[in-house]
Amino acid sequence: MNTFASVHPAMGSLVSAGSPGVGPDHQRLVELLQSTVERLLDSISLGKPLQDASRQLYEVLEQCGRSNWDGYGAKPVLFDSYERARRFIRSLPFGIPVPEVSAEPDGEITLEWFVAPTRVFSVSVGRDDELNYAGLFGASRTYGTEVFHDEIPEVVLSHIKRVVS
Amino acid sequence: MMRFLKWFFLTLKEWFLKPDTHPGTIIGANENLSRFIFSTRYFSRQALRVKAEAYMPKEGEVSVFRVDRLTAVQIWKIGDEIADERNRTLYARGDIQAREVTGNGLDIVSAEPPPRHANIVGWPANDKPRQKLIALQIAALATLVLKEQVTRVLITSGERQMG
Repeated sequence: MNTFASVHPAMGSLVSAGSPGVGPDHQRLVELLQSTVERLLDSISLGKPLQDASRQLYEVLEQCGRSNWDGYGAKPVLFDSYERARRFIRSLPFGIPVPEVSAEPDGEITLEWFVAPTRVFSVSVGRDDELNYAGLFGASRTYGTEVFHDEIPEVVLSHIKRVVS
Repeated sequence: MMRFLKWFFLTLKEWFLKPDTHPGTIIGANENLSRFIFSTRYFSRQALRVKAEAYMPKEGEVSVFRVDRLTAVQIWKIGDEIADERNRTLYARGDIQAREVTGNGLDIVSAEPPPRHANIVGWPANDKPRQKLIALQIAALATLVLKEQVTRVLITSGERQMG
């Protein structure tokens, strides 16, 4: 694996044909290319929806970061939950639409894929590794708990795909 | 017999036509329940829907008001009073019939004061996924009524009267 490919997987195909470079100029070029590729990935392919979801997520942290944000005594959304929800959204594979972001009375963040009132899937992300989820798929329904580290559990992903397909 | 029936129906008619008859403690299946919404996170303006989060329980309860035989103005007045008490903005309300709640295995119990207040109870304890599922099912049947719609209607009718 050459230097470029080790920096960003998406850059591998761009540079694999040439011989690896050396020196400070080469390093600057690598950094420049890396930031360009990251910016491209963020702003073109998934960019706009991902940015919207990130903005929504930040707004939730701001609006719901205090106790009783809903007027019914809701617990505050904590930064840990925000971070975990951010990682969840960024772990979504290409082609999956980003969710609507909200919060719950217990302070957990809701990520929701809504197509119609009876075609909806919702995941709660809190400060621990547990993901509580529920979904309606017409007459069928599902609910359960999964663990989230850095990869979205396959069962959760399959429910998201089912609701948006 | 005829005299009794006449008396019975007149009494019934009078009772139903009273604008603000206080409901009894037993909650009927067809009663309308309003959930006042003080956070923009609990509804979607684009999709005009109440989100399930609005119906997630806090300490095993969801607070609602029984609004049968109230006018729209009277319903919003209750919400405004609660908003004032809690120093919050009232954005909207979610309306649903009692049977749509009890149909999901929950109960509704009168919890006054304030007048007409009730709680949705009977949520599965320590089982958040099931609570989420029930909240999704209730939200799917709920109707969102935006406060700003009412304000807009009042302003429009005021403009018409002035014009």
